[in-house]
Amino acid sequence: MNFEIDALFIEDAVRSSELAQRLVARLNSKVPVSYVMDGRQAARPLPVDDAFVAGKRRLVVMNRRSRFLSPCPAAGAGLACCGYLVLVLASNCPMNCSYCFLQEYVADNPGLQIYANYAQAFEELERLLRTNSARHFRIGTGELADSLAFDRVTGLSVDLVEFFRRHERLTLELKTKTDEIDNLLRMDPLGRVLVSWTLSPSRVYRSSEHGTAAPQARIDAACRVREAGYRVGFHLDPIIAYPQAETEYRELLSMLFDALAPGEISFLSVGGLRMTPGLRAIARRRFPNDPMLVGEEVLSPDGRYRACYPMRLRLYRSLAAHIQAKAPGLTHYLCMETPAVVARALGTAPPSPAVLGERLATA
Amino acid sequence: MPKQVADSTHEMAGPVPATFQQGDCGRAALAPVADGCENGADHEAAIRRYAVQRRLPERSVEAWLKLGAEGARMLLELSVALKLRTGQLAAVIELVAEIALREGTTAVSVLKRGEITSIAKGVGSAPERASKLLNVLRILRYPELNRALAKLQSAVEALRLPRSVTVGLPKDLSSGQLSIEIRAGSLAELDEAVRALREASARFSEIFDSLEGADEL
Repeated sequence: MNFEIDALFIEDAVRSSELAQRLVARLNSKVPVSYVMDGRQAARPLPVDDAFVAGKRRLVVMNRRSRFLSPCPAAGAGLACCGYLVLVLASNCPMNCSYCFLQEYVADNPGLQIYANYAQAFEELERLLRTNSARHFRIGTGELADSLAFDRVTGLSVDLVEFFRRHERLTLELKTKTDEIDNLLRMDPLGRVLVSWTLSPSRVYRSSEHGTAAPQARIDAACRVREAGYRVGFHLDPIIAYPQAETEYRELLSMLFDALAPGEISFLSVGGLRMTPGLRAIARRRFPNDPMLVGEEVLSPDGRYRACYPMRLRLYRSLAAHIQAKAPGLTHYLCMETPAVVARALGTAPPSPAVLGERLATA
Repeated sequence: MPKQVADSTHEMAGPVPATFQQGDCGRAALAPVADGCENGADHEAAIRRYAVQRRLPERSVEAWLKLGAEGARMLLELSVALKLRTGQLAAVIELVAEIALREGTTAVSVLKRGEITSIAKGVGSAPERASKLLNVLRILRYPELNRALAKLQSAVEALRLPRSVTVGLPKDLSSGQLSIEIRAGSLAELDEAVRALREASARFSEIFDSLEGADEL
């Protein structure tokens, strides 16, 4: 997949960094390069109709000023948590999903930021291991960006895999909606790298996931990295409660289990569509013709719009039953729901973040 | 008026409908249509004039115009006939657009639905019919939610609890928690309310199951 870039900005401080040089060389003079004092300014919104989309076409290589490693947002929000840790190596994504939370989250700095000082991230990870001598951790780079979208030009996956294969208690999760796996196929991750794909039924893909790889292409890519020694996982997130959802998500799961035996899948996460009122307004303004954004969502007690409780529970239970029937033993969990909802939906209280985190890191 | 609303999917070149001649504030807005010289620009001008009169926010006006010439005109007729207040009109525009998008259809086919034309043709005061219109549109916009809500409301009524006990469903069925309020002025009244609740406990289980979508909604 080739994502087009209109301009490359490089912060003066990282001008001689390996990442900046790599990008200049690989973009091959097709993209104008500017050097700026402060990359944060280059990432600010442009005064155009859709500053978010314009930001997706401006690549900014810069230093990250804050920590790279942080707990998943679910951890502090009273939600059931899987112990996932987020490694922020980039911000924003070249794809354009109508439901994406980045529309609101990076509205003030939509430029595609990539952080050149990522060696500091590795130091943070080593510190984590030193202060937690027995635990395994699952570390993901796909929270504020797609982990692989620009891998062809950044080559970041090469450095990441190289680092993680040396650390037994760390599992890297590269989360993507692309089929950009060429770099991965050239390396042996020694079982310490997991590649995960967000999957949606074709109807959702066509309606809402602009610029992404088709669901079947994602599954095909998963099969290939699996053969190359990577672990694979899948996120059915967001699940959208549209009228045909129950049938079509089940069909999607069947398509997945036809391609990969359940034993070849490390885990499956499931999470319902949730949107803050602000995100909902932005998404509907940007995608006025997307029927997926006009479902039967209501304002929930946590301040987010979610499918009304009966619809949501019914869908969760139906999918859980289908997974249990088709893939008994496959670890699956609910994401971004309260422990009470998880217990009602799956019939059992969620494990603690540490327990589930350990299980997913080693699955 | 009712007939004109029902038939208004066709270009309306005839005289001003009776309802519009009764001095309501939409009459002036409809002048170009009444003169038989309607075209897209005239409709838009008519809608914009009416919107100014009603102080309708620009965002709603834009959404209204996106309903398509025919749908926008039908909605103007409906608004004039039912004397929709500004807030009601904004809500109707949003609901019609969302229903059309959800169902992959047009505003015209939404507005031609029997449930809606019967309100337009129906008897009763304009405010009553306006309120009915909004209810019908909300049911069309949130069909499963409303089916579940109606079912749960009947199940709560069927509990036949004393008047001192009120069972509240979660707002918009946004959670799985019922609220139960007991009003008691004495220990005896409290005991009676608690006893009634205990006796109804098995039927509460069915309500919780429905709330969790356990049965077909």
